[in-house]
Amino acid sequence: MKKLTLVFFFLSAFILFGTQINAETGVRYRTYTLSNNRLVRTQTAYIPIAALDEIDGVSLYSPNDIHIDKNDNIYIVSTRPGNIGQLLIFDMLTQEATVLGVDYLVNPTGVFVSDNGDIHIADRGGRAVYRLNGEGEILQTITRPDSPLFAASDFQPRKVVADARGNTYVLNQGSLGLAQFSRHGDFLGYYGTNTITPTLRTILQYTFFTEEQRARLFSLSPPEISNVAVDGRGLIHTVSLGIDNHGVKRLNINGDNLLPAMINAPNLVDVYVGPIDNIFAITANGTIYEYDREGNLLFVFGGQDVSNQIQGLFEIPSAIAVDSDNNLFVLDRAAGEMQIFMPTQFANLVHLALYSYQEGDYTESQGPWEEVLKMNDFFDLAHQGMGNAHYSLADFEAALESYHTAFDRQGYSDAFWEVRNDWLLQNIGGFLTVFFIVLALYIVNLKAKFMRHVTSPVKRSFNSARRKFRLFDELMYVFTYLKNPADASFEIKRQARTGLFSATILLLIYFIFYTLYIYNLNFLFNPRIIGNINLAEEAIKVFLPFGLWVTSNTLIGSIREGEGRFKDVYITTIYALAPAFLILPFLTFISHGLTYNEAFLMDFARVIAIGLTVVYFFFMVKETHFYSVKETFQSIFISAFTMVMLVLGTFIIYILLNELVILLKDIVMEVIHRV
Amino acid sequence: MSNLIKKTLILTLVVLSGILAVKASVGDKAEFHDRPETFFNYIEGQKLNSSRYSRPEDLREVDPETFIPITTADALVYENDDYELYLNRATINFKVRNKDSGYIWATAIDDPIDAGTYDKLLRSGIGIEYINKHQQMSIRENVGIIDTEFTVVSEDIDRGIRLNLSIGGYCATMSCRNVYDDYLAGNRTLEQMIRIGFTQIDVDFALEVTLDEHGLVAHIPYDSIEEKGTDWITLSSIILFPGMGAAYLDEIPGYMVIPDGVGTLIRYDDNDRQFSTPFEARFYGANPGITTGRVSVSSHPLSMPIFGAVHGVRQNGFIAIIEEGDMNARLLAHPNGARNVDYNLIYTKFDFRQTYRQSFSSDGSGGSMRTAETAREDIRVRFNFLNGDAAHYTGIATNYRDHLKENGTLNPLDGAAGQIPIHLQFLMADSKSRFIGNTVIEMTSVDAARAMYDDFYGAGLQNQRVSLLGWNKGGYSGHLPSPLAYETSLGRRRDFEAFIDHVNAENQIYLVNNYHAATNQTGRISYRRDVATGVNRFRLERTNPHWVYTERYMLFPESTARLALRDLPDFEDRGVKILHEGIANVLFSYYDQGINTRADTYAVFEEVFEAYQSQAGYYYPNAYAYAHTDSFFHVPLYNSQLKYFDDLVPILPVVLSGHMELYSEFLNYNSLGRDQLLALIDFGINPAFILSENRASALRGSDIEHYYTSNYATWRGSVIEEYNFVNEALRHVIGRSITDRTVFESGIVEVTYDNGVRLLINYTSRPYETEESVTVAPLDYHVSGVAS
Repeated sequence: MKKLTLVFFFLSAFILFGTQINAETGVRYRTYTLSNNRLVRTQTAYIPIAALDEIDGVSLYSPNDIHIDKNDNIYIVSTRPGNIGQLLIFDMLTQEATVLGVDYLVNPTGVFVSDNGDIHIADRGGRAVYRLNGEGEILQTITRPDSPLFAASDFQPRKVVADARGNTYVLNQGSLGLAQFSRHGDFLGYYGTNTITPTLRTILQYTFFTEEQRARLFSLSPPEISNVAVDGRGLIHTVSLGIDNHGVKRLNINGDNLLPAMINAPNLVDVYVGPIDNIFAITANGTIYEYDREGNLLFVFGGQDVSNQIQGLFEIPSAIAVDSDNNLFVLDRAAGEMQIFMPTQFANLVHLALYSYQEGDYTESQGPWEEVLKMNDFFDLAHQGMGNAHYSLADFEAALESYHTAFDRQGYSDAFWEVRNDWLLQNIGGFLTVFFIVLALYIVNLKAKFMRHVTSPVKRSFNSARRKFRLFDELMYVFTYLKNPADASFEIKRQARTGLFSATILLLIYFIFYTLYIYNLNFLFNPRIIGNINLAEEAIKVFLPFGLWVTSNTLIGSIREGEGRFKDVYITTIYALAPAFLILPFLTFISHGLTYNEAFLMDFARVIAIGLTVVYFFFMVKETHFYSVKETFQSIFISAFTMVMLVLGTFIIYILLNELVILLKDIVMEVIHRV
Repeated sequence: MSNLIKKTLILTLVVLSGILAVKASVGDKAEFHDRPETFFNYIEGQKLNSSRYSRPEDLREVDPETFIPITTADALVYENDDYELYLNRATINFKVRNKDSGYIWATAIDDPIDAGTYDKLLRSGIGIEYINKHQQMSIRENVGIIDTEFTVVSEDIDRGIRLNLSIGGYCATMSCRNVYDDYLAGNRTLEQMIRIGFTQIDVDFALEVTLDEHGLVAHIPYDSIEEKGTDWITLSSIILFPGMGAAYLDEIPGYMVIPDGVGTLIRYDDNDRQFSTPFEARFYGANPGITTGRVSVSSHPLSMPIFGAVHGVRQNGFIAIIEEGDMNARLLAHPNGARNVDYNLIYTKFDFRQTYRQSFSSDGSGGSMRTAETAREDIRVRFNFLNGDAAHYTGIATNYRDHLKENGTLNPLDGAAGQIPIHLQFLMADSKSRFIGNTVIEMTSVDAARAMYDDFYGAGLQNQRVSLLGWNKGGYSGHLPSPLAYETSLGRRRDFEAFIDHVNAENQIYLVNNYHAATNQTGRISYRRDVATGVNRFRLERTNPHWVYTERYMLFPESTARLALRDLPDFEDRGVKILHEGIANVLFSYYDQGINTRADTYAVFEEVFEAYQSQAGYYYPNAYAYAHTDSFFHVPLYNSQLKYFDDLVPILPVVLSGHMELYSEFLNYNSLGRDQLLALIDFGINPAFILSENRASALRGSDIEHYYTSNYATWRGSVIEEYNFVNEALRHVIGRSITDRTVFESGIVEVTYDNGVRLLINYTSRPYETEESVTVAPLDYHVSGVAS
């Protein structure tokens, strides 16, 4: 999945080059949603309605964290100048603010409120985590545990959450995971630690580096957890820095991630879970992501404005929170502000649809999804929702179409299974009739042999055609090759059984097969988007490796005492590739009758074709160059290496030439512009 | 007792209907959210008091203590029946006293409080900016004239005075300032002074200030500007009247008026230094022909050359109309606290030269700074003073409307009763990449378009403005500018012609065209001849490998004109109008044998405007195109939404009301529902939709995927319903002008028209009871004052 950067837009910049702006809701960012793993524009989902630097007369100073309790009271911890912390509690109902903790908080960076109303504050400057009751009395103070399990040298709690059982989870500055404390404040251990995923590079480094180098390199720690939140069911969510597809995690009791790979930016700084378990995350440069409960991306919007002039964009966002009506509250530490965003009618519609959908009430969600689709025909999740609704109403044909539009292949497969089933049931009589007729004919033929009156003229004309048309004969030779590659290669090399022309035609036929395959393969098995296929690119994919192989194998053959000339290698390679390409029309055909349940048939056929090709290649090289087995292997490996070198060399020369051209151009340009 | 019961009953009814209406309007949200309706008062309050709406105005009277005094330094220069004009020669500060109200406007601040680096500029009636070629072309900004050695020679002219100003030396550094008195005493030589930063600016120009019955006119003739000094100091800008309308913190109730987008107010509230940067924007949008370091934060242009201020709502105000020099003027508006100055300021800078970076490498990197001439015009700004009820943003807008009527730019529309017009754009065709070349995506056939037109006509939408997008050969993207050649996969030429005639029989039909921008696959365009070059001689182009048409170009104005004029006869013969993209809202400098200014570009475009008079509509035209059309498409509903903007006010619609048919952007993309429809009614803007026969997802892979919903079948009902909602209000004011607009309380707005009709709009989620005991439902409106 690709990384994305969002840029807030300037109306004028789009007018300049002819594209008219179509949607204006007075917001300074675009809203995107996902359509076939690609971000596309959508209706504005949230509008900024306020940028407050004070609430009920209380300044926010440098606000660090925000939490909204189940009664929609807002809790904000800020740092005042001179290392004084404050907790601001704002009651949206009475619109009154209360300030607490000024006397003991130093640099509070995290706040959390349990369902029972207890307020938890992580005071990084004060090196302590406090638990207060609703009146602001301190019930408990957690300081650095003495336990030897507590690895960190320093206790600088940044964030804090608590679960329903009364356990407290503290995100300590620079530590590996969440430090878990019992209800009584005992340190229980670490939870939700990120791991380092080994990559090929790290493995190679680990293998080849000296002890010293390794020590320097592997001081690497796993990605740092940047923030934490709790959803309505008490599950802990974390966001981490520097992780591409698992930046947001929902942890089970073992600390394992329950969410699938999601699209996220690697610089997430806060996460919050909304009223219908929607996940909201914000990045260091102010981009807000909203996901549904399953981790599907709903909206991406927002952005950065370092000039601090534009409503709805942020300088340095520090925290996000969501109230029970999906209003977003985002703190901006640098601007000293809280911005409020309100969902639009469109976002409400999506939430309403999701609400029924997540409850499994697909038919109930159909109406809202239809409305969503009316507003945006590219919204995949809505198409998928419609598909599920159709499916649950047993309208499989309609479901098929919705799933197809949504690129939901699993759904499509399930619906297709049903459709196919219906079709088979309907036509079972016809099938049986045909089957028995054929069977009867076959049995009769065993005795009467009447079929030869049909087959022998065909055979005869086929053979005469082979005799008459050399090209046809040579093309048909590919089947002989399939039967015995070693002998056939020998014949081609030694007896000039086929020519360059027919081999080239065969190669072109391969390419036609390949083109038909990529265009016509069933949607279920075709990861390509038909509209995005670039035929030139596909031609390069087929012809370039082929050309490289032929060239390098010929060259290697000539220095390693191979007997194959260019022509021989060219022709035999084409014939040896037969299994890989001749299987394609077959695959294309059967793919249209299969669902994922029978996908192994496709894989099986592919494996056989590829396996055969490998074997044929071996014989081809061996016979063409007249090598021993060992020499054949050497020849193949060295040729492969040469292919890589050829590509690299060409690339380097291209870059150098390009630089030269630019240099010459710049010289001319400078002469013109300076004069 | 019975009274109490009655009251309780009414209260219950009102609350009940409110709850019902809210439920209906927000789409049964309560189903999954059960909570008292009062709960979100806080959020709704924040919304209605945000800069997305107009807030009630502060009607306090201006404290006479804060009136600017006329001192002994101010000499009476001229007076007429209404005003007296004073001048302080030492600071070039003009003061105008309203004889009736006694209110005084000054072009500078006599004694600014803690203005820091702006002190000298604010003390001066005029300022300059210059470029120092010896210091990497750095621009010395905000030099007040009193900070320089200047002489003034005055001569009386008709109704005013002409000042011949001669600016000499200027201390550009602290060390120069420190010893300047020493220098005056003769203890230091000029050479010594120059070495420590004393700069001989040596610029002369004349400032003519005259007074008429409306107010003040300031005029700086271009011919009078004379640069006599060294060739490495050169004038870049003149700052006119930096202190005009200045207000200290929240001392004066009132606001500044900026025509950003639809219009905005910055109120005189004490910001407690929340905002550090002033608003700065160029009139008519940025200049894409000059690459400057400064990036605009605006999303909307200042499309009209006006600004204003109100000191005491409905008491004193002024509107400044830039009559000449507007194409290279910047508007600056400082909310108090910006640049550490506690004044609210609004003034203009006129740029005669700008600096740009000249790169010498093909990737556009590196290079050195150079200057380009950007203006060769006079500066003429008219300050009309507004008193009493006119001292209001609607007064400012109506004053500008009157001004445009007087000079013949605006003409009244027919005020015929009937139905409001609706703009329906049919998305006909676009294209996407195929393995070889591109393939046309057929979105709407001609027959389907005709059927849609007839269907809506039959459903009561008889007043339609139809426009066709992608009607041309090859479809919309990448194929404009296009001559009259139809995309024949949608229908035969004959069908197109029949459809055009069919619509023209009762209504008007437009073809969308763009003579300003093209792509690498546009026919008729030659890269060498037609693609414009910016002042740095780089082509004005954008490339993006993800686009179907990977390169987009701006065309030389001459090429624009050549093609537009060549195609015009065909359009005229066919009787079809053109909806122009681009040319009415882009002005740029370009290089063609020499540097051409924005005014040069305009001069070429004007030929096109004139040739297409009554033959064209424009998207979001700037004020200079108003004279050439009666239809304004894509009227903005918002402004740039900067944090210091306080109110969204309809300056643009009020100016044009009754004189231009205004059409909104496509409501398909309105995610705010009723709220936005109410804004249309509030601002007097007619609805617009974009429709296609095919589903929008067919556009996947094209360059216009951002038209993500347009399907006629799904939109038909909404189009009719939303049209009727707006029509029921606006049909009473067709062709009429807005005269006033009042916000009674947050979210409750009343708009008054010149035929006495009043539209009361309720943006809130609660019913509102008027003085005449009419209850306006939540998110609804009420029409009154209709002559029976």
